Amino acid sequence: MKINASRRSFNQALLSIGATAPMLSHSTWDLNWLGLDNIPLANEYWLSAQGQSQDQYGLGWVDSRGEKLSQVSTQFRGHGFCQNPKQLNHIIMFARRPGTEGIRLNLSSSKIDGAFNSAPDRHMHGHGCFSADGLKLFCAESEISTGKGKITIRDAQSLSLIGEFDSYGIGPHEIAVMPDGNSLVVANGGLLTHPDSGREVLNLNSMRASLAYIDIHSGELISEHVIPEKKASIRHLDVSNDGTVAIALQVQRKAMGHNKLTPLAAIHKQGQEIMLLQAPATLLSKLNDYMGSVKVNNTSRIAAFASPKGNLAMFWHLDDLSLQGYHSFHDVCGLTVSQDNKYFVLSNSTGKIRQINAVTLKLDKERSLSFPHTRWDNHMISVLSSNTK
Amino acid sequence: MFKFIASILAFSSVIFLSACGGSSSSLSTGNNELNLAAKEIIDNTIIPASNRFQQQVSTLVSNSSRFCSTNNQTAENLTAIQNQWLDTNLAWFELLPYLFGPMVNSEVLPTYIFIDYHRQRGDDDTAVIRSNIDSLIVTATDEDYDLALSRLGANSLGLLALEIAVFEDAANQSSIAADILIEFQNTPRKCQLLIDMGNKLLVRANEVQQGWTVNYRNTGESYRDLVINNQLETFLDDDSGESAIKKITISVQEFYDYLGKRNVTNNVAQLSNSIWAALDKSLSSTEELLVGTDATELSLNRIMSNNRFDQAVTLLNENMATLRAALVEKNSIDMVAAAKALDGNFKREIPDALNINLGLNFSDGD
Repeated sequence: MKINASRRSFNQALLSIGATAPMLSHSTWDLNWLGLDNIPLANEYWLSAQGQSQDQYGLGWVDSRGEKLSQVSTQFRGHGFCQNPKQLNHIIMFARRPGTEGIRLNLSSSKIDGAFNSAPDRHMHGHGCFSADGLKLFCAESEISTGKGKITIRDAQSLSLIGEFDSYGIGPHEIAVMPDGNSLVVANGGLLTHPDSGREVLNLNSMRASLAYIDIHSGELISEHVIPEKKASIRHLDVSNDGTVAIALQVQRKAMGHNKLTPLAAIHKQGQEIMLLQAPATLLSKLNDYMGSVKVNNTSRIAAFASPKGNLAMFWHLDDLSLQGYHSFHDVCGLTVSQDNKYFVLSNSTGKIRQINAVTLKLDKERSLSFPHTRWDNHMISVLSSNTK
Repeated sequence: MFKFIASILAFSSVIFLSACGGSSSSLSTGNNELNLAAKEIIDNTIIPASNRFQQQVSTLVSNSSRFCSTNNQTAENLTAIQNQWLDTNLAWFELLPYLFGPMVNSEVLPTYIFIDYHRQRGDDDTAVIRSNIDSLIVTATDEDYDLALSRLGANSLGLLALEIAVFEDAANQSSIAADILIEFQNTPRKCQLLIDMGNKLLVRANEVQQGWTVNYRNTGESYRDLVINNQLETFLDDDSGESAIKKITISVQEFYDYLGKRNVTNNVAQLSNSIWAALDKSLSSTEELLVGTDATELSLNRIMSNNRFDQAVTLLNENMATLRAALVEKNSIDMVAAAKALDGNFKREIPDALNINLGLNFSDGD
């Protein structure tokens, strides 16, 4: 069961604090849920791809006090992250699509201790996740020759490819393990691209986005869900601890043939259809058809969404679906939750980090950080560690 | 001091950096120069444009009141109102490239949409406004009128609503001055509506002007001082956090994106037949932004040249000349092409030449 696994893992983490360097990803566990809400900030790190040019690209991380900013050079532009739930010091960063590389950072040594590439005729989409037992790494990829979405499976230790199954769509982007540990949820963006034509979308007229639930063991499709607006690409997601999936959308406006606004955030609860999250037209308009990341706070039950093209983060309640607030922040896209669950942590491409109280949704200015020469990229992950170099 | 304390090593090496301060640029532009240039743009270009717009709206309102007073509904006075609307709209297009700070105020109900709803998403609400005017001018009681007026949304107000009110009659959408005049003479509610919509516009023009010069969002400080002194994040929780020069550059870039993306020449200032002159005002304002005024000590063009980006200055001049030619020829296709070129210049060449970073490229699919 997830609960037992989580408790065991967290106990391991506690035992290790001050010894090696276990880190706890917020995407995996909820500290408040475990009854522990006073984790020292000194142990908390936020990681993100960063850099603005080939010679600058790297994986950067900073402690939550902003005292130490570190980076490993990668030579490629990274995108999403995941943490091994059983080897907490293992953090994977995936190349931004249509890249073919992934790296594993060992935070205890601050070094990259593993790397992998897509197989021939495959490229990545920038996201992946570990199985609940930490033995397998799932990556969102595409078969180049056919354009079919694939979920590739790698051995979590060796990072070697051990299998794959269909994503049941085109352009799988963010994926996550559901709380039951037995299924994956996949955001099939529906956009066909080919490395030869870079990031150009080749199927705007026929694009079909879907949210697919897949049996993690057999690779069989469990269920598939679509949204009414066919030109809205389902790209990013996060899963709450009750299995509610928060979804961020990107609209392919030039394929729509009209100028009507469409929601860019949605919620899916098991057994129901996808529910679009409403907002005032002025806010929706400001987003420029683009929501770039989403993160759930399990304590406040609020999902945060970030739009760098709108310079805006927006917050909706997972249960009553009401818009709770918004926050203007230039080029905001990185989004995570602090380990004590008290803050949404927002990053932007000019190196700034802001913390928004997860309940009041007010900015805590005292916690704002700025690293003027850092370019925080699309996604940020929060991890806990007691000992990093 | 922000600097590497360990150089970038090979693959898998780690570097540690400290927060804030300094510059790694090899270009000569420093924050002080950019701040000075931004201050001069605000003081010499943006605030004067904001003042002019407020003054023009104020004059429009007073002219409307005079026109609507007893025995003053003459052809001459109608022409005066129409001309005043033209001047007001020209002043607006001079200010329109600077769509930040007091032009916005609130993300949910930005001030500018009550002045120019089209600017938001290119929606043409002419039909909506006509319908609302038709309804309002036949309301039987003051109570009904007040209620209907209070329910007008941003898309039914602003410059377009006033343009429709003064450049055509509601009954037949006739643009003949005599028809318009007769309707004003025979329909007191239309005069009332003209004054009321003018006053609503004046409220917004005041907000913009006062925000720039006196009190921005109840901070007790002018937006000018807050943005120049980099105090916005100190006074407000929700400022997006860019420097003055970045806000200016991004805003002008977004204006040219708007010109390139929306059907401006066919949707805006049509009844008054003045869109080309209005766009010329925006272009002149852009030229002033780059070249400066007589009072300017340090122009953006000079900074770019000092940084050895003369080619960028030349390219900008060429693209602005192309845009001006398109405006003179009233050629929409060329206008859009030139606007898109300038959009690109403000995204790439100008930030590079000024040594400012506007952010990463978060493109579709990321």
